[in-house]
This record gives sequence, structure tokens and C-alpha cells, in this order.
Amino acid sequence: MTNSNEVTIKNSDIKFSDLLDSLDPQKPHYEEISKADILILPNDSFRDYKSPLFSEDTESFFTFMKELADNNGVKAEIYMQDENYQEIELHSDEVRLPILIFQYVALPFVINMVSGYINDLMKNRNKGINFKLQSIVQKDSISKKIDYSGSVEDWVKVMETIPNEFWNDDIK
Amino acid sequence: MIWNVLAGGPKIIDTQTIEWLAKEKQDARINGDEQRANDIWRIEVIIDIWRMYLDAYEKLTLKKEHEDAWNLFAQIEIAISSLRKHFDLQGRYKIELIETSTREFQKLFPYRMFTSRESVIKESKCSICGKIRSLRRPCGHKKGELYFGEMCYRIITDVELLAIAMVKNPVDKYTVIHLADSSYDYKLLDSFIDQMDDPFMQWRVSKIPVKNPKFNNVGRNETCPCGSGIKYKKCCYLSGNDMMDHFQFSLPKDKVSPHLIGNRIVL
Repeated sequence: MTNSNEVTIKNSDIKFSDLLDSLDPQKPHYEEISKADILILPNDSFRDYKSPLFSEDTESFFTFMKELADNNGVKAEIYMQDENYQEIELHSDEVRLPILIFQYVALPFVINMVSGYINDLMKNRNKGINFKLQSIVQKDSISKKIDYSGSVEDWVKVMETIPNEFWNDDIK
Repeated sequence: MIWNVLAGGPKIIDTQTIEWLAKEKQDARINGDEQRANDIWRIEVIIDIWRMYLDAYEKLTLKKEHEDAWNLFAQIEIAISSLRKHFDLQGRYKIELIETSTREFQKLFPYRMFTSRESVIKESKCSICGKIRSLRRPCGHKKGELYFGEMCYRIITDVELLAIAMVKNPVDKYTVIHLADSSYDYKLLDSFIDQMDDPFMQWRVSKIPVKNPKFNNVGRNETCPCGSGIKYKKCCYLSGNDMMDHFQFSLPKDKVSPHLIGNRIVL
């Protein structure tokens, strides 16, 4: 494990409304997805693979997130029909969490949930974990994308700066 | 008391005891005693870790079957990772000592590159109930949790292999790459193992980068000794290829032989 952390914060074009516009309202789970405060998204593209893929162990992450969300009155969903769900397994030692998009109001929940999930993983490994996470946080009509690689402790510090970043015009 | 099976510390447990434990676990399931069944799972994993570690040690010391030992160390890591979630290892049954020694042994192997598969998992089923796993209609069994003495994992039933990648830090450490017409040099490992007479000896090894003697006294503007024909400062000095690994061992004082300084040896 290395101790280096990498963070980039950029404006993002991805918004909840655009995601919903591209969904068929007749499909199962449309209503749950349309009301979600947090959505797990598939990877944009993995080496031009023909269909969307989710990170390894997204299923376990989704179960963990859903249980915690249900207990905290937060609506969490995954942006995919069950029958089309597929995972890309890279079998590397690195922990890659699935891509998250969430409403600004859910920020405290996301910080608590992700750090809880990584801390659980660390219990099995007896060593620190460097993890990767792409997250998109939306406030009103503004979305910011945070790409992070590093320790969970520093990720929490980064996410706690998000309230200030929304008024930072330097981020392009 | 089933935990008495582990009394006396690490050793190879006889087949009769292992069969008795399996029967006890079966009885616990029939009687609906999940706690007892899960305890027996913990005992079985500890016994397995002992067996694999002692087997790996024997393969290194007596049989010189290095890769078999490496593969056992990889399995030990997986077993300890599974156990840790369900058992407080702290100083118990020498599992932490085995874990530390396993990591130290792994540093002495010459393997640096491994393969890692990239694949798309399209369908999997639950090892406990056999149901196809579903995102929104889960069977209720969670991967890695214990259910009546069995750990839940997923059995992949539909997979598409995309590529085999070469990696330095694989999940599966047994995927060692072998190049045709070449073999690995186990001199460092063998030299150290000859100093050991107890698999449970406490020891540590640190890997320190030092300059390869071939590059000593080479001026920055001189031609690089590697044969590239370019200046040293623009070649191996820049890339770091002029450095090599230096291994420093820390051993118990009673293991120090006359040619060692203090409690450290340099091989």
C-alpha cells in the first residue's frame, strides 16, 4: 500500500434529471430510481465493452448501502435493471468502489456509509486500504465530480471540504 | 469442549479428530445450534492454517519445493482473512505469528510479476442456498458471513474472460509467471531458511534499496555501465536501475551465529 492520495474535483455534466430522462418509465424500478438521493452508476466504458459494467463487488456494496439507507430514511438505488447487471472483475489488490451520484443533502450519509464500508473491509485485511472512488455530488443544478484515490481517513477530509467547494469558481 | 482440540498450539491434527469435528458440526446443524456449528468452522480454519503453514515450512526446509510453499502461503493469507472477520486473533493459537511469518517469507521469494484475469461476471449463485444472486431480490445470505458453520461465497456460473493482465500486486498470488527456458533463483530464501530450526521463530526482514556495486565510483557524465552507450546521469541514474534490494534480517539473539553482527545478518 502506498500512502499517496490523489484528488481531482471538477464540474460535471452528469445530473439526476439527465439520468432519468434516459430511462424508460415503463421499466421496473423506475419509480425507486427517480426518487433516489443516491445512485450507483455503471462505469462509463470499460475498454469499449458492449454493455455497462459495475465495479467488482458492487452487489455487496449495494446491499450494505441499501440497509444503511433504509435505516436512515435515505433513498438509495442502483441505475440498472437486475437482469442487465454485470460486474467487471479485475482481480487486483486495489479496492475500487462503484461510481456514486448523490444529492448534496445526502453528503453526511455518504461520508458515513463509505467510511463504514471501507473500515469493514479493513477488519479482514489487517492492513490499511487504498481505495478508488468516483463520486458526483449535485446541489440544485450544479454537479461536481470528485475522483479520489487514497486512504479512507483522507477521503473523509476531502469530502468534508465539499460544502466550501460549491462556491469555488476556480473549479472548471 | 470442542476448543480443547486446539490445546497445545500448532500441530498437524489427526484425521480422526477432523472427522469427529465434521460430525459434530453436522449434529449442530441438525439441532439448530448455529453458534456451535460456527465455532467448529473457526476451529477447522485454524487447523487448516496450522497444517498449511507447517507444510509450507517443510517444503522450504526439507523438500525445497519453493513454489508449492509459495502457493500454501497464498492460501494461508486467504484463510486468515476469512477467519479474522469471525474470530478475534489477538495472540491466540499463533495465527498472528503465522500471518507475520507468511508475509516475511513472501518478501524473500523472487517472484515479482503475476497474472490477473479481467473478466465480466454475468451470473453467480449463492454457495449456501444455491439461488442465483439478484441485486434487488437477494436470497438473504451475505458474502463472507457464516451460516451454520459454512462461509457464504458466490459461485460464478456465467463469466466472459476479457484479458489476462500482468500485475505486481495480484489478489491471487499463486499466479506466478514462468518464463520459458529460465528458472527463479531461490538463493536468498534458501540461505535464510538454513538459519531456521523452528517454524515459529520470530523474525523480520526489511528490504532496503542500495546502489548496485557495478555503479560505484561511476561519474554522472561517464558512460553508463549498463551498456546503453548514453551518459549514466541520463540512463540508470535517472531510471533508478542502478539500485538493488538489500535484505536485512532481525533474528532472536539465541539464533545469532558468529559471523553475524549484533542480532542482524546480511546475506
